Amino acid sequence: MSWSRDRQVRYAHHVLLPDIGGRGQDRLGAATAVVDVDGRAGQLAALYLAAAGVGTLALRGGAAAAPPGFPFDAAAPGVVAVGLAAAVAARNPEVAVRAAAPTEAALAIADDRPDLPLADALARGGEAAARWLHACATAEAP
Amino acid sequence: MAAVVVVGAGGLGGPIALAVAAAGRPVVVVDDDVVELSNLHRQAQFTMADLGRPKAEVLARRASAGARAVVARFPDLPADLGPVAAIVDGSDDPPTKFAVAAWARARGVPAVIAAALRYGGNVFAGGPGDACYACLFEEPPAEAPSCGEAGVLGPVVGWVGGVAAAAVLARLGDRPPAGATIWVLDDLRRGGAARTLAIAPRAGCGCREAA
Ligand SMILES: [Zn+2]
Repeated sequence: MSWSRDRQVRYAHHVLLPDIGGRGQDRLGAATAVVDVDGRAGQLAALYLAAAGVGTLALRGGAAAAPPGFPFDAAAPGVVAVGLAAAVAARNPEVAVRAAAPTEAALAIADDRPDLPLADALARGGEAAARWLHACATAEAP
Repeated sequence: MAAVVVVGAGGLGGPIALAVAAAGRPVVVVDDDVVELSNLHRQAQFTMADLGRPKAEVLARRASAGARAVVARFPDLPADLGPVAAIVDGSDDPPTKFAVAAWARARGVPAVIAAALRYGGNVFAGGPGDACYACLFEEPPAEAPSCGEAGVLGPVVGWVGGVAAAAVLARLGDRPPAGATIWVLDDLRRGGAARTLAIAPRAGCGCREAA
């Protein structure tokens, strides 16, 4: 994968990491993360995975609709915008978003639900996304 | 309702401010930086359209109608700050963390101090009279790598920030926890276990002399 100046700047803090580097970041860019986004932790995991440079997000559940009370994509208080795909595009236009196929296994997030307090959803979604990214960046090529 | 002051509007301050505001608390976001492209791998509260804008203003607008932005560097706070319920540090700067702890002690409010680096982090939480951050860490390290120098895996800040937000909301709840605590979120590469440790006051700490 060729590295534009923008790409170098965007992922500068990842490339510094032991276990990631430029090769690991390229692996993330070539990978697909499958995320169940019916719950809040899943929505946040998807957003953090997109920011971190996963190549494709395959979403299962109510991704098309705007998640209620989801502040990450609100332009102003009370304005819940756009839905997850647009929230991803606004953050990282390099990420492709598609619907997950029924056979694809989603990354595991314990006890995720739509009414999870945002603090708990962040902790669970962030941890699940971080574990997935590290495993993906360090996996042996098949 | 008294506000929660969030120092730093970046990787940790973002999720902390949004989660505290979502729980119905007014927040005051303090940060003098602007959004840069190198922030976006972890600061999921910002979009490409926010590049170049003051982080505190963007984050406060996204958090809630009652949120306030202070575009300044802690402890440079406005005179009309109003009542404060607690302060949370999400900065990337050890001296600021100690300054936030001292400010909380002087004001008699709970402090939550969060740090994330590479694949893990920690979150200190203590109320007035509890052991303080300096009881635990004594003084800022002579050399501490920042996220900019050592890197951080993007979603780790969501994980640590979520734990920090839950910690400050618990301190402000009906039954606040007794005593100071630190959550140690181990490096994910070594399992990433979350451990909670109780912190006892340290004899000779500045907070004990004042008491
Ligand atoms: Zn002390």
